[in-house]
Amino acid sequence: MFDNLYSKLTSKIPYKILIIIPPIITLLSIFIILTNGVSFGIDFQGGTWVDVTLNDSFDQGTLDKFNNDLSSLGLSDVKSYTGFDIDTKTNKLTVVTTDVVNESFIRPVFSKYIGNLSQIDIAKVQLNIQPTSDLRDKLLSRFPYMDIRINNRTIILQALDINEEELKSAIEYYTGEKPDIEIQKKNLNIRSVGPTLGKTFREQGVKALMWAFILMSLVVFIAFKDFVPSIAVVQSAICDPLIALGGMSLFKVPFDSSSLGALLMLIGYSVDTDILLTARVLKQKGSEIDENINGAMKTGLMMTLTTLTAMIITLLVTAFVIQIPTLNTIATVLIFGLIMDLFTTWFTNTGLLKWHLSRPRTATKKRIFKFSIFSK
Amino acid sequence: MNSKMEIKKLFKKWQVVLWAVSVFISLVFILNIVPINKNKDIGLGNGLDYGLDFAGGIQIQLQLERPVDSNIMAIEKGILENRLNSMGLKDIPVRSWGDQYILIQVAGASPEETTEIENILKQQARFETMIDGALAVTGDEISVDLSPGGTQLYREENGFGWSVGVKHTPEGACRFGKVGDKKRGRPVDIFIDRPDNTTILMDSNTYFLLGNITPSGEISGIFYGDTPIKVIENRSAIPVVALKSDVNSTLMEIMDYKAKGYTNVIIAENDTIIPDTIRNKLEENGLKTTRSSIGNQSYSEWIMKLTGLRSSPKLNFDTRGECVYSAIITGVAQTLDEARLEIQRNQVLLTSGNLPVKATVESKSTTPPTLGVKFLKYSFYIGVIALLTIGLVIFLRYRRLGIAIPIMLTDISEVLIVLGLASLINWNLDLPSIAGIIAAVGTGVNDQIVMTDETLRHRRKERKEIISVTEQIRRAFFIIFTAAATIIAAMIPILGIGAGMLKGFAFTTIMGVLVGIFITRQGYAKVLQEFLKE
Repeated sequence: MFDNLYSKLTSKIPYKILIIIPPIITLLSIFIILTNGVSFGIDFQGGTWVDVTLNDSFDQGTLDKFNNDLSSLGLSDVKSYTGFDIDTKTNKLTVVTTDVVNESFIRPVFSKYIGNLSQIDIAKVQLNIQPTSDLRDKLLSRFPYMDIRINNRTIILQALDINEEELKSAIEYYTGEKPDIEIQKKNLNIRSVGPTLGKTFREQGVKALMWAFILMSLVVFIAFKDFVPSIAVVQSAICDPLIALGGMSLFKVPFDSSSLGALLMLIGYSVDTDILLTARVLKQKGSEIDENINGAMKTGLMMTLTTLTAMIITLLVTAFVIQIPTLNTIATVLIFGLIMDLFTTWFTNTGLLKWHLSRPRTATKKRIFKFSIFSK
Repeated sequence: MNSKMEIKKLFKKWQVVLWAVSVFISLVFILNIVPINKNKDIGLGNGLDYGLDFAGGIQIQLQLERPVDSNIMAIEKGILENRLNSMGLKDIPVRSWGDQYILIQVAGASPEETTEIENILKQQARFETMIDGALAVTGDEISVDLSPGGTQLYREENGFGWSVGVKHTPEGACRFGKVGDKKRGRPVDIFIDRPDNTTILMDSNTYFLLGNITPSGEISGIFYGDTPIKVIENRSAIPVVALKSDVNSTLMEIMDYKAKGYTNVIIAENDTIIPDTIRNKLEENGLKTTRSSIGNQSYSEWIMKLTGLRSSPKLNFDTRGECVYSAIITGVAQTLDEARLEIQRNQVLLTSGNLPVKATVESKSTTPPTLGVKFLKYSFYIGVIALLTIGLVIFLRYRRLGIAIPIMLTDISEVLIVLGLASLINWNLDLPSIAGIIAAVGTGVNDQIVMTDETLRHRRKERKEIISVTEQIRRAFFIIFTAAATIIAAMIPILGIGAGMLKGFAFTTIMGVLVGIFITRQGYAKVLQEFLKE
């Protein structure tokens, strides 16, 4: 598999042409990002996100009416969509707006279509016999984060989450009765982020990335003591996330904390193949450059392929079997980025190294292995 | 027989032993066999701490009106911490980030407690000083010089003296002078959020007891020879109603207070003594009730919580009715650090009523615990699927179980060791942390492919040069070390973004990479050497 791939490739297309393909894609990506923009998630842009569990699904007509009512509140950039949650087997309605609003502001519109809204679970227990006065303390020691009210033979319990089975067994155990438990599950989750918060986060993120690239260049330079290879490695680590960001802009993948995570992971994976390549090409004397590149490419493609396959499987599973948007986004961004990494590594980085090594030199520096403190 | 020998031989190598021991110890921690989390039993994952993403809870970010320096930030933070923790909830972490933001995370709280926390964050603290129940100065009438020049630290015979200077506005200064007349030696009671329009309901036995004891020897020294009832009724100006056997007459008394504007009732007993039925009756009559019984607290702790009393320094002079424009609060501490802490504590207290810079709620999110558990469970399944995929791809490439299985085992052990470390240092696992582990495992797989290829390549004599397996692995290690150092270099700046929002990601990635190069990769190298020798 993948034997002598670089030699085969460069026999068809000159390597210097290969070098410029990824930078062109990068420039194209920057262009797309600048013209198309990146849709920031509410973490970075600020806004409100409302998630409601529906009893019945919304048809398109109702959804349109609902959207109309929402926009009449003066909310900007409202997006609402419905979906089905396989796990709880319920319909969900998600509304995202770039305005920061509180619950009481939007509650009337939601109530009109959905009815009673609650952010917490509320349980009502009707006992036959007046409970002993220590019941409350006993229940509290079992469920410390619950509000418990006992009014004669009625107990009202409130918490962020109430597990019906657990509550039932506790009540039965403490009272000796088997009462009816009526639970009203929460059906509303609301999250808001102020706009300046996202801005600060963004600014800090850009600064941190700058530092990351500077430190990375430094490490690579110390390891190889050569300028061009260091630049070659860092260009790949910069181009990959940029191209991935361009892809996100093109395919409207929102930039949120999970896609940021994916971009950071991409830097790690990108560096892996680049270091492998540089080490193989620079540190091995006595063989042809192309031979070394072919060897490195064989290993490097295997590395990327492994991660890529794992991510494709993750994407398929999270898209069709169990919905986890966070992992789905990470996988999407990584798949796109890893495919692009193949080009930045094996076209540009490799080409730059080849060009660098085939230049006539005035003096050849002696390179020695001195990185063996841990193996005998 | 042969493979048994090989495995025996493997366990003579220190790298393999270290690897195995690390996995074992990690399992001990993750399973909570050594009780890292004392409140949990032995079980998979019970030794780990979960952040809000998984354990559920509420996260609130506050934004200050303008950027501030670290000095003011510390005071802002201190004021919030103080007010939140005085509610009697477990430690609520208040973290500042950047020069303008404060992050508050509440992991376990009931809905009522949550509302209370939000109210505290939204509202300005109500600061009052009172002398024997008469209002002296309010929060906006007092100012504290927060610059280093506003405080003093000096050596004393038996420790370090400290002082914090305060200034009063003319109105406050003259009121202070008036109520301080002939009060030399009496306490100046400093209150934060003294319950407003509130009566306290307690059992008549408790009322009798509290009206007849003068607690002494209590550390905070708030009593000055007064009974607890006197501290509540006279010095804090909060009426106390004693519950008589005739509940209705008690109710009448409370309703009389309601007519005068006292619409809140604090029930100062547990529900064995004053049951919820009475509480419900009060609520039916339009009163707002809360409960605050003594529990395990000392008298002074309880009284301070009931009344909002924070500190009672002694008035060292007679104001003679004249306006007091500035005052100095002094004290002595054992060490220099303690004295500094005292200064900060007093600065925090005295500025509570008038935050140096106003704060508003900038973001709020609630994660129900069930959601987090669901996510964790599914992430685990997907992790297993991804791992099997990686194993399959590697098997297809090398056609040897002797390579695919050790690689998968190495990955699993890497995850375990990182989790073991997280458990040991009580790291809060959040979503970014999990992503970091995935990233580290990914680069781990890459490293192992490098090592395998590096070794196999030479065995196939693709190269003319003849070198030993050890030498080949040494070369592979150069690549691995450089890649690791580069990734760590990229992660270090990420550690500091936001209130450490990506700290988890950077931290677990760095941990994973370090565990990889120092433990698992070393072990895998030896396994590879053994398996590929023949």
